[in-house]
Amino acid sequence: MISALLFGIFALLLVLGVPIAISLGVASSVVLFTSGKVSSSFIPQGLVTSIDSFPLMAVPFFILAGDLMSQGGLSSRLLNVGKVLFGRYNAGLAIIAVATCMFFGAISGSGPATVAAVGSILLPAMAKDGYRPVFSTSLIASAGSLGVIIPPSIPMVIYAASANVSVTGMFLAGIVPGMIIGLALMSYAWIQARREGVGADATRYTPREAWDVIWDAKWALIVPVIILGGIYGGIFTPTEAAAIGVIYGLIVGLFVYRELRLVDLYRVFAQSALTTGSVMLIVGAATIFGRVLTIERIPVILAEAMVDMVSSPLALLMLVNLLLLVVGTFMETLAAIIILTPILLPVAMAMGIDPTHFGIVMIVNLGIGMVTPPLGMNLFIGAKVGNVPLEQLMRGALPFVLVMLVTLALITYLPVLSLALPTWVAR
Amino acid sequence: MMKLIDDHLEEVILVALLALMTALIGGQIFMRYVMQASLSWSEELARYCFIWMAYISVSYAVKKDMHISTTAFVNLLPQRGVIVARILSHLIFAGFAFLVVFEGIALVQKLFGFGQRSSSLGLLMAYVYLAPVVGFVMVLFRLAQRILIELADLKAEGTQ
Repeated sequence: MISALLFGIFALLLVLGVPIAISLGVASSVVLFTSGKVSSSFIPQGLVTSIDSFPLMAVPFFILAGDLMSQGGLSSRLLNVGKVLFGRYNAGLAIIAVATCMFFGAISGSGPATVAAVGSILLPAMAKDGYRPVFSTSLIASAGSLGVIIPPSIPMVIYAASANVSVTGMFLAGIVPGMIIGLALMSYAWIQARREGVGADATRYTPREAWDVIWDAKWALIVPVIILGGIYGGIFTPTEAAAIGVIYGLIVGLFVYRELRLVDLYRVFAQSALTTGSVMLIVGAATIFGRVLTIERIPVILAEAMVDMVSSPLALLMLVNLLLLVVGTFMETLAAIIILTPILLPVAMAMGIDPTHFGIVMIVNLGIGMVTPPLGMNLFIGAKVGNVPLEQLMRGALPFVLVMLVTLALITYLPVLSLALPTWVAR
Repeated sequence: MMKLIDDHLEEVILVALLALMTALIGGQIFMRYVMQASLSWSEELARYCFIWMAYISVSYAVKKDMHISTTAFVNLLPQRGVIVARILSHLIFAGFAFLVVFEGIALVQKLFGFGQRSSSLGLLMAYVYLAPVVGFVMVLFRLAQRILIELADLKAEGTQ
């Protein structure tokens, strides 16, 4: 009865277009007041305690670092390196597109940011080389999901906070799945582009020129070493690494490449705070929602029902995959993680699924959700950057989504792909 | 003057807080590795700046109409319906904001009474819990502005 009220109000408000955080907050408040089990001062208290967290502070820093680096000239230099390495092959830019997204994914922690950064510089080049705009934009919109799957990743930070697992562990677990998806997308795109008869980049480099391009990009190439190396090496926490990324991006953008202007800084900082705020409000409201769920024992009841219903962890993961794919189509990634983790994780753990592996499955799913309509952030950004109608892009992205679904199945059913690295490091 | 405040109030506060957070964490790493002296208070202060930043930006997000919501269903309605649904959604938001402000003030008063202080800076915790109260008071102003804008849109729609 209570759970029907809770979810009923939540769903109704969502459909009405009330912000997700407020829908969660209102539904929980109504239930809190009707059941009277918790003092209502829990509402403001939960809003503060839930985000009073050092790991969560990585979110604004990673957003900021990604923005600073793409505007500071780092992403265009990464692209130049790709051209030197793969430009001479037929359909080489298709490979470069995915490789640049992978590399940029290891700098930034966000999917849409990756699409914007890589797309804005690569799409014009691809059009010049004879790629169909719909094809190249779909490719980059899909490969942009690697931004959240390859560490660092903002959704992983959020998941780690809600699931109470280590951010570093999640960051380690994401590497192999990210590589697999990247390679799969790369192979498909390359085969498809060759079939469509796309040629090679006309520019040829002498060894001397090639070296100059790579040397010029050194400040960008070293970023993953600093950020990920620093985290994995235990030199700094993920939050500190993100702050280092901001400071590094500022220094390189302002003083080394000099492509960042002081006027941009104000806007970039305000934008990052804005995105963070709307996400943190969801974290706060979802905590209150989660508290109500726990008081009403909903996760426990759900877990028992699911354990009775599905016989094996694999069957459960398949169900969860289906649910997440559906949810991911209409709900924003971070919101989906914050809301679903407290509901689904107890079920998964009751069936013996590792919480870190479960997190990776969830994030890959939601990464795919970023390229599926109606709410696919990467598609929206791609359509804007690539100047392609959204409807055509949705159809164009379909083959890439299928490729990613195949890799999702692999990642789901072979936990070792996610868990080998963190286990090995912990040893 | 009023227009300047209206346009940039949240923005300026947010940029300042985020810059301060970056400096605090950067400084913390610098002190630890370069000066060999770990700071005990920088992380705590950065965390409190983060909480304030989060709730001030809730108001900024209302101003910019950037709160995350699912608009797919509402957009199926005719134009007038969309505007009415938006006004309704703002009113529900305002109801929640009232609740947070009301309960928040009670909580902050209680905390001032207890005099509870943070562990390393010795800051009164009431100042931290003030963040959602101040944030949501600003939200109420911004929502009122938005509702006026939507009402004007509705009127314009009606005269066409």
